[in-house]
Amino acid sequence: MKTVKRLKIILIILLLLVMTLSGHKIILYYKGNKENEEIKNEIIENYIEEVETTEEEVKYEVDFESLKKENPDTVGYLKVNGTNIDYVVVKGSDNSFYLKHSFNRSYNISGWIFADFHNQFNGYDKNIVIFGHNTLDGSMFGSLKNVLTKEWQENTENHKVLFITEDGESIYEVFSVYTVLSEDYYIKTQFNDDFDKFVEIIKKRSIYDFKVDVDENDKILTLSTCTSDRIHRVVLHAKKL
Amino acid sequence: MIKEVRKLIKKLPIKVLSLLVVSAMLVNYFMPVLNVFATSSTTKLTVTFRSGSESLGKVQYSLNDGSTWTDITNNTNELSITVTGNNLKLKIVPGDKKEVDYAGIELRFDDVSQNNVSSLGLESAGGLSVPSNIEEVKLENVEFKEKEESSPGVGGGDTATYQGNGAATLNYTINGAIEYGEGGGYDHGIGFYINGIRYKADESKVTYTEDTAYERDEHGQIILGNNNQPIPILDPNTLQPMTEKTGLTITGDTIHYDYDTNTNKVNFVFTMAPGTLMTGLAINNKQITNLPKTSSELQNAYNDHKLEIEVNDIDVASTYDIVINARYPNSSEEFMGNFLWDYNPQGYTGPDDKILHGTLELVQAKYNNHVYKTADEINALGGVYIWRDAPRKDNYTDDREGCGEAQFPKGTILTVKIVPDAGYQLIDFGINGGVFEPQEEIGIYSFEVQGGPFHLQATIEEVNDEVRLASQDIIFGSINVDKAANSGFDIGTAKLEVSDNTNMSAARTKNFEDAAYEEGYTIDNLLDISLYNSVYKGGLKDSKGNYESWDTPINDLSEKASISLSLKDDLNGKDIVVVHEKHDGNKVTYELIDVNYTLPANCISFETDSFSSYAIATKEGNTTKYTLDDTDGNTVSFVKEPGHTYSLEITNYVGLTDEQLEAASIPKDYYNQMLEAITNATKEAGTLVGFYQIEVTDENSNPVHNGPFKIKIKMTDDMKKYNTFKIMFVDTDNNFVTESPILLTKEGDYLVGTIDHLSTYAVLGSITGNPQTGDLIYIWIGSFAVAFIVLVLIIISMSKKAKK
Repeated sequence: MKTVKRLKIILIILLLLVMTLSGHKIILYYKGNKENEEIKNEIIENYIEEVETTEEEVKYEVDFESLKKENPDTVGYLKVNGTNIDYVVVKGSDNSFYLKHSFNRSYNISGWIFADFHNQFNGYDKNIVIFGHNTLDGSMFGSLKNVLTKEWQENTENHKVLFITEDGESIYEVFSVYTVLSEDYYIKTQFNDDFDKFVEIIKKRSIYDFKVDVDENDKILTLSTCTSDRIHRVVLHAKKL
Repeated sequence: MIKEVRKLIKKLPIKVLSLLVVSAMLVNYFMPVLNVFATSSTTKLTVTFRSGSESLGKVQYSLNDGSTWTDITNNTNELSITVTGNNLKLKIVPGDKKEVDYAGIELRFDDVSQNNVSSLGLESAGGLSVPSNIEEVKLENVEFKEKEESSPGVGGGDTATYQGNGAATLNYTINGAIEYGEGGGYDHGIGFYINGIRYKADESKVTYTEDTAYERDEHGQIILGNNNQPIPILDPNTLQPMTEKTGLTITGDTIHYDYDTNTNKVNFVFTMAPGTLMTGLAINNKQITNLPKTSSELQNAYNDHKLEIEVNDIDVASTYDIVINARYPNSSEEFMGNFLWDYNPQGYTGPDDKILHGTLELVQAKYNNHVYKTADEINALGGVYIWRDAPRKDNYTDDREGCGEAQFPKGTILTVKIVPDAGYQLIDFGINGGVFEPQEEIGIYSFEVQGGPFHLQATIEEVNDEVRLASQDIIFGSINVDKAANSGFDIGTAKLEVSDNTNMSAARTKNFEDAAYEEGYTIDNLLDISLYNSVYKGGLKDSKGNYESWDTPINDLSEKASISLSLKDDLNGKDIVVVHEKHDGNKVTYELIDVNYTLPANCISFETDSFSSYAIATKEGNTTKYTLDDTDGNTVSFVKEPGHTYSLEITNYVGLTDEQLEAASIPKDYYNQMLEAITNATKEAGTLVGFYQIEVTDENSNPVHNGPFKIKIKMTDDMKKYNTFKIMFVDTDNNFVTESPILLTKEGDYLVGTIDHLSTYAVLGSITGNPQTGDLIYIWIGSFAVAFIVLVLIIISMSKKAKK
């Protein structure tokens, strides 16, 4: 009897330990998200300006000089219609640092939006790949899964993705959205003579026909995040117009 | 009263009464005879002749319904006789080869004028019946004239043909008509057609003969074409308004008149240039009233380069008295725009030499909201367009002046393309000092056609190729580019733009530096060099006074261009190259191009066939490149002055064994502390897989610090677990301060990169791939929830047992 009681006490202690650890992570998570939200708002407020607005068009001016003073890893600004994606993009020296660090380089469990470190942003990248966490609250790339819905796909306004770098503003037109088991193929950034085959494959994967032609002369943008099961990826490809 | 008659009768004897009755009966019987005598009243006939006509014919009368005729005339010019009889008739009988001229004849019955004498049948075989009870008939001013042999047959068949040597006389008066010169290539005279036959003037402009020189269509109209413009009818040489030109005679071997036998009419067509406005027209005293006046009427009357006024209801005659009133239209009455230009590649410099060293093409015409694009469509624009001598270079094989001329309705929006020859620019294009509005496409201008004549004026001048500089370090530039056909410069001029590339990314800058470094050079200036084929937008200038232009980027040339740039800084004594970033499809390569350097302008000159980003790179003229290696195959390359002996030492401190530490006299604790400190300092960049001290010393054991240095490090077995590597400077003498990591690339079993100085470096490895961007919050929340529920259940269970 005593043994049973002892086991119950041990179990209670273990359960309390699990609750403590989980609670700590949950607190960190929400604290991190809140901090990221504040950083995001501060960036949009201070460094991103709508300089020209017509009924058909909104143009943005990004103060890269100031942003680079905040974080020299800044490489661009990304906005995707029909999602919450509206972030400055950084590029680390690898693809892991910004998984756990925010724009201000402080530890943050939700990380930040970052480009594949292989991308050079010299105007000649054939495939610019951008990653972000699939967060529960929809921040970062938590809303990228919207692209898998029919509602998002059938709204043509969503098919244009804005990506601004120091070289200027670019509009990308979406040509493929899908989920795939985690792999390295679609995040390739170096191509020899296989780019046409590459775009052919990733276009065929799409669950929706965007009726956009892509060929070996195009440059593309890839957005990637995990699904909730963590073993698949939600992927969007768009070609530069 | 009756009683009184009865009394009188009773008083008359019976014989007297019988005689009266018989007499009454006889009168009644012979009444018709008496009536004849009563209607054969006397009629006075008076005939007068115009002087000279009394002997050319005669007037006859008949009292027996035309069975017999009696001459009234007897070589006197006036007769007055009295005739008595029934069925009086009159007729006029011309003499041999004579005919009646009804123009002045007047016929009166009892002083009442009879209308349209010519139609009363006086000349007919049956003559004119004089109504009864007419006491006086006057036939005055009877005139005969010679019968015209050339006059059309009267009452013939459907077609009458006259052939003879006689001439129809055209008494032709123009009041204020406007004439332009035949030699000027215009059809600006007033001309005419009669029954579809055009007549042209001889040199006297008095006699007109049928114009047979021109090809005609199925309607007999002249087909206009190259230099087949119709000839103006009046003197083209004076360029003065013509007045009172009379007595013109039309002659022809054969004149065909096709006419309806019932109407027997002649058709006239008067033609004139749109710069002439006909305000009045009379033919044989008949006023033509339906002359076109409004713009719409005038445009409807405009056909094939000229106004055509058709008059169809003119009586056949041997003489046509035509009076035309014409004048210049005022500006509001102009309905056509008539403009011309001249072009001659042979060097003609006459007054019409408006578009020398360029070509002009018509692109489209828009009129009444309809766009005419093809040549046929444009030519058919209301039938109003003539494009003569299209101004293309290859149209001209001799030294004559070429010209173009076009006419469009006022208000037509005309789009033309004008491009200068190679080496030339259009610096002015417009009319009346105005400048046409350039469109988006190269050489395309649009303008609205105004009424009236005008010249298109295009000033095209020889212009040097241009270099525009936006650089702190370059003060002058020039370019020499091939301008052969299909070179991209067969029109306009070249424009070279050179600017400092201040926004080049670090990665690209490094690529330039690496390419230069391979040959021992360092980058002095990063430049963007762009080449354009430039075509000026007419006379438009920007706010800085430069001509605005259409600029077509030329990225590649079939023949190399020569570029010269004068630098602000003196590079005398240095070895200079330009580094060129070349793009071949998706591949980017860097080439070093030799330059010529000349003083005193500090001018570098080089040749290239493509345009993008460049860098000017230099090295001291006496430097050379060294590459050192050690026994492990590690290498370091750098550029220094020749004549020295250098040695390399590379030591990796990661993974040293106790024996190695002992041999190196490094305390193990110190070693571990050092590695721990280095690991902590570099952990953000990856896993520490190597820590190198790289040292190059000269023959005097003096270390070489300043680079850049290109390093090649052999990978250890531990490194091969990773796929991404960086190298990071760690200052072990200063609290392990680090610099930004530099990416190393794998070349076989080696890691390769460029560092700017030699010291202690950490090599960091990481495994990259598709990053794990999943969210663990689900697991944490689930864990917390499960633990909480289980905990509650246990507590409840324990609580229940405690109660028991």
